[in-house]
Amino acid sequence: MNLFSINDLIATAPALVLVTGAILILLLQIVLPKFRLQAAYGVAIAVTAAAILLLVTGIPTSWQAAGATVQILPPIGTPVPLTEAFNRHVLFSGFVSEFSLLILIALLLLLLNSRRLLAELDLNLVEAYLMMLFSAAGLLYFIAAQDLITLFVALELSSLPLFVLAGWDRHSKSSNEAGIKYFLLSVLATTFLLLGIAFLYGASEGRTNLNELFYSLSRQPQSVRFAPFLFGILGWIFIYAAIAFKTALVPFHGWVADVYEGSITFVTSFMASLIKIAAVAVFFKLVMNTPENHRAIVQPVLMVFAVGSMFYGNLTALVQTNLKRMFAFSSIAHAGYMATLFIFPVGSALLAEIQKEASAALFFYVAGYAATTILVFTVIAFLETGDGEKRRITLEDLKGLGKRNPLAAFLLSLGALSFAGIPPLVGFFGKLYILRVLLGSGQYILALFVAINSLLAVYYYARIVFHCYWDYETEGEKLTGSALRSPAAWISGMALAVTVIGLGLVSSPVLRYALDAMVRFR
Amino acid sequence: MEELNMRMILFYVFSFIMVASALGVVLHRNPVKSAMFLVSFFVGLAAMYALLGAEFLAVVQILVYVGAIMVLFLFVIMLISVREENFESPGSNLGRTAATVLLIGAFAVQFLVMARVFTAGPGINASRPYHGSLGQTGKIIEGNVELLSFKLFQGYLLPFELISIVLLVAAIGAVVLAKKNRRKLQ
Repeated sequence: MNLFSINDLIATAPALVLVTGAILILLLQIVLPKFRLQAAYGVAIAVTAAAILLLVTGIPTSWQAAGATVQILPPIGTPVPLTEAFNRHVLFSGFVSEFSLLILIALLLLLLNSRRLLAELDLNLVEAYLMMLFSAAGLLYFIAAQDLITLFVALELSSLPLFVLAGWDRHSKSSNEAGIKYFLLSVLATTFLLLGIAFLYGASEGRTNLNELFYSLSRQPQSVRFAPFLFGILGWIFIYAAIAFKTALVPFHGWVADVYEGSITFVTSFMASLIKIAAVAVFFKLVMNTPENHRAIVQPVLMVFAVGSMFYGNLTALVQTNLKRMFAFSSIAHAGYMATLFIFPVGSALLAEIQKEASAALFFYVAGYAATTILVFTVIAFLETGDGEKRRITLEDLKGLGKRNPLAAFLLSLGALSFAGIPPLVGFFGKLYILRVLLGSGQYILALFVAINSLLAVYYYARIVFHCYWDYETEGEKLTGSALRSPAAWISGMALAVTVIGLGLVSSPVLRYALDAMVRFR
Repeated sequence: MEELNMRMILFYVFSFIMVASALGVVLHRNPVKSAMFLVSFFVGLAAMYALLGAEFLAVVQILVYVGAIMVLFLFVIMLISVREENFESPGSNLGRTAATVLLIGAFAVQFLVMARVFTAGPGINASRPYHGSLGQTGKIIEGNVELLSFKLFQGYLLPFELISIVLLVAAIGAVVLAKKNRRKLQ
């Protein structure tokens, strides 16, 4: 056990910056009572930008204590060393740094929209920014956690603010329902996580560190008659179930539609992007840390998660008319696509290579998914409040949107087409890389399922585009107000649109960068 | 073996009490009685800690949960004066009796099975006393509280600090959600 040193703080600097910013916002409320909202907004954006800068440029070695090997993401292009901090409770690798970067960028883009969107609903309170910063900091720790105890606490830190945010619109019944539903079901998922941790603790003679767990468990004989092995299996299944809840995978998807629809749309986009990025990353990390002998038995569970989510999400989205619900179900389907990357052939000699390819493909898919999700939900949020009061948007309302509100129609269609996987956009390349990994590792049936589902999904995404541009027969209800009604939101929306188009165009350099960064995991 | 069997019997007695009172919390119609079941659950949990050799945790469990938190629960329940009639009974009397009988049966079967397993093979080793050494100084630590504090402030420093942020978030969140006139705050 090492004593605590300054290097521990440096290693977790981006998360610490967010926490510091949040506490600063709290204090500024007392110091600057008149400008508290502006101050909160400004500080939130400033600390997020600072955290991104820290991650991208790295921290100069001269700041670090002597003999330190602590380094967070060094300047882009240099290989990332594995760095442990806080008594091996967190571990930074290329994988962690990249997903942290993704989370921070998504947070920045969301924050840019936040002020206008919250103000239009008359819900712009200082605490909203606090909650977002705390939650994002929790997510950074969640991804980096190398110890199951820290993983659990970080998960709590990231979800607790979201329970509050889900019920943010206190006067709306559906928002209240969303908050309480998300809270209760999350707590249930958390107990699953704890039970799983307890089982693994017992199975490995008292270990919670992922690395130690891996080596302890991989020495076990692969036989269900050996009790610790059996408990190990149970432990992994329970932990997977808990993270699958956060990722919104079938059969732990029950909350998704109601919570996504009930929360105010801004919060929905937070949940559908940031939480999903982190949960998927942690899920992948846990799968990587499951030793081969356990994985051989647990794998079918992952298969059920992936295939079930794809089919359930897409088939249910086909019949939805409410736009938010449709995208909620489509987010389940996308989680399913991502989950296919958690499945590796058992006993393959090329396992390390396949896992590396899979991690890069996952990174690319998640980046594209997050950008598209934020774009779509932002447009929906602005459309909802267009005529002064909050309303639900159905497919019918979109009729003739292309004529009345060209920008909104364009952005919405762009998002839908990217989700559907139409070639020049980012969604297409994400699916392409997933298919390439699956085919490359010989999992033809999974690849077939992905292909079938991509075709199914085209139908409901195309319906959105169709209603926007071609369906003038019956005029839908007026959706007025421009799509991005503040300069900051305009910047954010345009950045997202450029990402959705541009990331597709430069997909292969990005993928190569991701591959280079994913040098080692454990 | 003698001592081991005693531990096992105690473990089963207390786990029976815990599961039964946990069911009582959920199934009883009277909220005050539900809260009392929760108290008995916490006491059982404290006994479990003591059985595992974590006496300090056992005492803290009683002090914090039974002493502080349950009093708060009861206070709130009595303050908002919920009536028994406000709740629908979750099951018929027959159903509840059946559940109790099943529970007892399940415990009996499990106890018998485990008794066979443990008398046959090597048993649980919960009676091992706690000791550890403090890495760099090489000092040997004996005893519960000291070891716990070293674990908490060195080994588990990060989760410990994160929990303090979690509590801050919970406090702020509760105020934001429960405040009557949020506009006036601004």
